[in-house]
Amino acid sequence: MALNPSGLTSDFTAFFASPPITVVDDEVDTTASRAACAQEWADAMQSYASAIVPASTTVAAAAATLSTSLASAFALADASTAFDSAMLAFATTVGSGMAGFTAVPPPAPLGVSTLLATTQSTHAAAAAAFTSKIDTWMRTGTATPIPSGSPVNWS
Amino acid sequence: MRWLTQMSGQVVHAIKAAIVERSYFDKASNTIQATGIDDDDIADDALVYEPVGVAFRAPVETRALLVHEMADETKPSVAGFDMRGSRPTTDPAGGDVPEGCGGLHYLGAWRVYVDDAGRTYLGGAADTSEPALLGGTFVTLYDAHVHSSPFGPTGAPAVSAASAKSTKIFLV
Repeated sequence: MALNPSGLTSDFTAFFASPPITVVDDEVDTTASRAACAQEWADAMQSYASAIVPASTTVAAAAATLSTSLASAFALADASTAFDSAMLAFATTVGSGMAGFTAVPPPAPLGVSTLLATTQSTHAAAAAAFTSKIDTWMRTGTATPIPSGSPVNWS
Repeated sequence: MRWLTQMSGQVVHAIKAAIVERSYFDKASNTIQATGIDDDDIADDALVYEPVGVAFRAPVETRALLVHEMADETKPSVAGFDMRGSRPTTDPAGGDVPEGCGGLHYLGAWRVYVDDAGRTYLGGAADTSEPALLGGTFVTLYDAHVHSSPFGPTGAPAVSAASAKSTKIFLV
């Protein structure tokens, strides 16, 4: 039971290699395509965090919210800030499902803009970079046992 | 009868077949030096008359028809060339050349071939697998195209391809 970065890398590699795009009557359906991409992110994050420690009962709900939030973020000219906010909302919702713990989501923004500023040579390299960024960031979330105990980092 | 004999002699000398030995092609002239087929007379600086706006430098060993102004062999001009020896005898696909088809050729190969439907083949090969792009259509498609990405489809190109369109050559 733990976060699953290797699975996230695998999911991202396949996703980055072939992002979904919806074509209707020879026209790209931008809204549907964004929604499909957002759902891919959400599915990958749900798989990654499904066995998070401490255990959370709200991973699926967090993923559903993430999908909606990212679909809106991708409509922006610069999605990086909204992407960070959506990921924070995901972490916050995951933390809220850690029964018996007071969870604190990662305190700092994810900072996806630093990744977007760098070109990766392969889909696998990009997947590894995103996974590293997200995994490192998620593990800065903490959970403190109720009623007492020392806080532990999410893992 | 004497005048007739003289006149026929003039006609004989007025028109002569010759072989191009050298050709000259510069701003001032398009001329050849040629040797007569029936004699060894050399015609220098034979001016090549050419259709308006069309000019090619004559290949060496091309047969030329010389016309001498007022039967004066010191004033030769070229009325035309006979390129039968090096003209392609088939269309670019290897078949007979249909009526109404032809084009520009050199050294036995078509360089530009136009068929009776107006299809134009540059380079001489009748390879329809590599058609030219329609610039206007291409620019429309290019300017609207997007790529898929993990963040959804990209926007259309920020810079139009319109500046790449030719302003001198048009296709249909």
